[in-house]
Amino acid sequence: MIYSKSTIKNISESIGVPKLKDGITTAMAQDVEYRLHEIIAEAMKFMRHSKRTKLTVTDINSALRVRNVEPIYGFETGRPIKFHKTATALEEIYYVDDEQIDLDRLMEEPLPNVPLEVVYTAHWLAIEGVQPRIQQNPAPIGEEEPAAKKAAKAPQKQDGVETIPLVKHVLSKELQLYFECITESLVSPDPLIKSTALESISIDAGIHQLVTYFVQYIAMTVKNNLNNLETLRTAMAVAKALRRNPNLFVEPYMHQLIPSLLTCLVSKRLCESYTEDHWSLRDGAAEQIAEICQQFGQSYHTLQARIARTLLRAFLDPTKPLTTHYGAIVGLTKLGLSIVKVLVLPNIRTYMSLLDAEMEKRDNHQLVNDGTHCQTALVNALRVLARDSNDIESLGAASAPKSKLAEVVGDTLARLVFAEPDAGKLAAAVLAASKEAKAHDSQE
Amino acid sequence: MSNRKAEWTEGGSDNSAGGAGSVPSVNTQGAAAGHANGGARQGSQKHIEKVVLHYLKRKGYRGAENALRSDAKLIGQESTLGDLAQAFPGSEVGSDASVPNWILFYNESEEGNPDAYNQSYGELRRWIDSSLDVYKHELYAASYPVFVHSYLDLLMRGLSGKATEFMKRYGSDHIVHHGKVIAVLKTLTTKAHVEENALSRLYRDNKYGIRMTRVGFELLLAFLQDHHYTLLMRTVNQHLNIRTVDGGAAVSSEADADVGITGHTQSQLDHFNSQDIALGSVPLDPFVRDEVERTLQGEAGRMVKDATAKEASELLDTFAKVRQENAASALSADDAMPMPPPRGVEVAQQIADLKALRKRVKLGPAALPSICMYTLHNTSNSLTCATVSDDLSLMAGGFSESYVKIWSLKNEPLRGFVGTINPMSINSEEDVDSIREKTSEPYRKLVGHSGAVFGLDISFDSKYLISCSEDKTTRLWSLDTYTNVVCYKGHNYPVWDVAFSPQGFYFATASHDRTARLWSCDHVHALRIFAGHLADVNCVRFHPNSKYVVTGSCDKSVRLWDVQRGSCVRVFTGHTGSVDTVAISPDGRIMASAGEDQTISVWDLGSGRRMDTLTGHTGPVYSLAFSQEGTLLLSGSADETVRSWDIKRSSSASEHPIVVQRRADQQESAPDAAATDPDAMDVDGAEPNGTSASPKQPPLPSSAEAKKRDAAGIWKAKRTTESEALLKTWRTKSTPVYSLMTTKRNLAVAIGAFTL
Repeated sequence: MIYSKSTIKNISESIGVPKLKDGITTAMAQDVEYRLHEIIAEAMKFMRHSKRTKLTVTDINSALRVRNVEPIYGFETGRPIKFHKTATALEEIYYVDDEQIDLDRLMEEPLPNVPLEVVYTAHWLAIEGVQPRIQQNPAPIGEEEPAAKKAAKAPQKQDGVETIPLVKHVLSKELQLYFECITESLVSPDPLIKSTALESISIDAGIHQLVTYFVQYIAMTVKNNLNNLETLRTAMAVAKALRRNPNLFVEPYMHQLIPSLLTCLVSKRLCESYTEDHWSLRDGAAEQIAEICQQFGQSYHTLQARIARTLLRAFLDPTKPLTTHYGAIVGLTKLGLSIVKVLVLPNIRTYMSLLDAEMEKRDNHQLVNDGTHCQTALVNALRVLARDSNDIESLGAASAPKSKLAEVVGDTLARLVFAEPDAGKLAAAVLAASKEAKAHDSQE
Repeated sequence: MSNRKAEWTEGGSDNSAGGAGSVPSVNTQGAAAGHANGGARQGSQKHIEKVVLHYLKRKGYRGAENALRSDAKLIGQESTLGDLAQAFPGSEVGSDASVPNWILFYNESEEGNPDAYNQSYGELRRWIDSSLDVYKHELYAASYPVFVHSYLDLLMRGLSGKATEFMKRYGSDHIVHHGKVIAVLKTLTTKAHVEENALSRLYRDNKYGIRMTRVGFELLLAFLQDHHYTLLMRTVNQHLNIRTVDGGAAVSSEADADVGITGHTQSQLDHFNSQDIALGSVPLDPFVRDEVERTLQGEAGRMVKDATAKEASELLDTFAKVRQENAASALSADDAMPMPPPRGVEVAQQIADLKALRKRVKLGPAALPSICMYTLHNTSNSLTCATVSDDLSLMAGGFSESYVKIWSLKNEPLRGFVGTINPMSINSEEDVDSIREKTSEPYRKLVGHSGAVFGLDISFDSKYLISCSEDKTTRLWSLDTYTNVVCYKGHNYPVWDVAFSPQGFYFATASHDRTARLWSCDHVHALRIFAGHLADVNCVRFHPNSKYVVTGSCDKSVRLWDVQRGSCVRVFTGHTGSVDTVAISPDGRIMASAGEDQTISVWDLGSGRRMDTLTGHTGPVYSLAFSQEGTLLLSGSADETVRSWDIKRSSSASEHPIVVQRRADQQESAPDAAATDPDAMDVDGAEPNGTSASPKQPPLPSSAEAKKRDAAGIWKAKRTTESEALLKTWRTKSTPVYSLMTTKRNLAVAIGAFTL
């Protein structure tokens, strides 16, 4: 019996009918219970036709309406109703939370968000009877699920120390195959295959789970192939493609990617013989680092500073080889005007003197070659100064105070600058910048 | 009082004619009556006299009573009998039980004893428990209706307390097989409820079918007789329809066709299911045929021989082949449903179908389909139904918030025509474009209903959408203008389902008011009302030739209705829960139904016989779809799976429908009758050359044999949860599958709403 006689009595008293006879209450209780069952059976039909497995208040109201009974207003909610349990002395009682709502506050509250539009997505549930292992389909029963579940269990407490178990990363077979195929294609001698693989990385939408694997791949490739220029180039290309892919969220992996890029930028040796063009590789790496700094500088304020510091240290360390210096200069140059102004320009003179000494000291073809590259790089760095200062009047070659320039950048570099076609502008920019820096210094 | 008089006169004549051995007015099958009569005859003379005396006293025939008493020297009995009669005011038998029945099954000791049911039913259970294992099953099955009627009788006599006790003690015995009914019965507590409740009325007004072996049946009767359990005896006599089966133990479960309450006796069912039906395909309109051929020939005969020309000539060949194949089974032209004259879209449709046919993937148990799954997000449980158009250009979903939403699956903007169109001003594509709405959204909302939308269908040419709703209306929407064109009113209760005929123009609705109705798009009133289901009609689908509709209902049955005559031609019983979805194979021979009871039944339409029961789903089945060859069945369910089932494996008998054979025989015997008989019109030509098309076939297994096999199969299926016919299960990510269909190219499409 859901409704006891006493319940009926209570209800009748509450609506102003005192002292119901016993027989009537019994009959009422029985009848009320029967009607309830009837309405619920009717409401179940509405539930089934709405393709739900949970009965809602709306269903009950629909059932009442079908039976020509006034629906009960005020109980319909969009959310499923939650019943709470409470135990009294005699039995357990289930009830629905009925919060008091402050109307004044409710009126002041902003309107709730518009519910999301109903949208559809399409995927293959089966291809010729085989269920593809894609994100949209569940993992096959009994394969990865148990392991994943075990790993995902709540943190276990042991001796007061809370350990969070590792979450196992499940990679579908399709993705594994894809990864293998791509990495194989990347080492292929055929440039077409390689470029197709790179393009796939840069546009494919479904490879997010593979990002960490690709980052790992780049790191390992760079680490193990420091003498193989071609492989390093490929690794850089992969890094670039990953960053280009608009569907991937690579930000969390940046800290893993940057060391590899820095290696390709400032490493002592990146090729088998020094005649190979490792310079362009360094240029590319510098470009990428600069892009990263620009892209994520907003969210990571110290990123650019940290990279600049690393590069500056490499630049100013006389024990480092010239190739490293070159990389550092290029890297700093790409970081932009202010870096060049603040970090490169004040140090050029010192560096040039060291470089000159180095180049004169030994008559080594390779050394001279490297030195020349460094000089060119420095000239390019100076050019950055000129690029952004169009308002500076170009000084005539004759009137240009070569000596003044030499004071700032050293004789050798001044000579090189004046060999450039736009020497006047360059010189003016460099002088202006150095003057500015000096003024800044004296102010302080 | 007058009622009693009538009984008496009627019964009196019986009584005088046959005495105690008269034939009960409500027949069990022959064996039951015979045995009962025999038993009664053996009763002592004294007993009969006592009964007669009691009867006369009750009726108030004092003179006759005194005469009998003095003659039979029965003085001294008066007080006890009188007391009994007083103590038991409600002891008269139901109005439909006749006097002889009452006399035949009269037991003095039981009559006044309110515990009689409790005791005798308890004894029966004990006896069944200790009986031989071979007969246990059928005896258990037979005890169920006895249990139900005992309970209802107790309630009818106002013995609520006894009834509750009775239910408490024995109800659990039947919960496994009849849990739903027991749950409803438990809620009945007074006589008024019994008289009012739909389920109890169903049980009291209809006979409950049971199948037993002869031995089992005789054992039961002997037991009841020996112990004078006349109350139970009366129930068996009055409310059971027992069919005895010769041979070994027959198992009776609700899954058998003639078991349970069908609203029909077995002979009625047999009669129903032996009506002739024409399952052939629709003949092609000559105009459409010529037009298709002309178009294709035109393309094939072009001067420039390019790929399209080659394709066209190949299509022409295919067309000829298809026509030849169809000619064998096609209906004659006057036999088919009358259709409006073709509008031209049929030609394009026919050519598209031919192209699809050429690209069709052959499916079978070894070659499973590709399934494209459309998942709807953010529905928050408000999606009630969904469908896609045949050409996969549109998807539509019905929502409980009273609207229908259409999406373009090609992601093109859905731009309807605005205003009236002057054909004179249209000279080019741009002109057509200019009178369309300037919208760029690939979806539309159709607003008009004032209640949850429960059913949806898109016409074959994707020009119209029809929707039905809780607000009792059905609405036709144009997919050119995206507006409501017609509102069809007729049902008085919510409309659960709607379906377009495969050729368009007609549609059928299924409603809470226990009827299904047939409509044509150009009439606002229903053309046919299909009445006969005992509860809500849940779903409706057209036969591929549009001549029939199939309906599934809450009364656990599926019916096939002749559209032209408006009558029921097949009843399929055997489900143990409400039927929520039906599907018919594209060749029109096989039908599948499924629903609440989580099992799928496959039926042969021709014979009305169940071919297979497919178990494996763990939730209500929402949708069924056959592959184009009819060899595979796909089912989508609330258990978040799509499953595929092997069909032909178990249906070798159905490849040659029985109706064709019978028809052929009849035509041989009475060739003129069919032609002249107007009633037989729509079955004529079902098989114009039936004899040649169906050469000697292996003799069909007799129906009894088949049923036995079915029954055995069901019990086995119940033990092993997954039938052997289950080929594969594809799980979705928490997405119940609302709708399934296969395209002409045998691509399966599933729709579901992602639910958290």
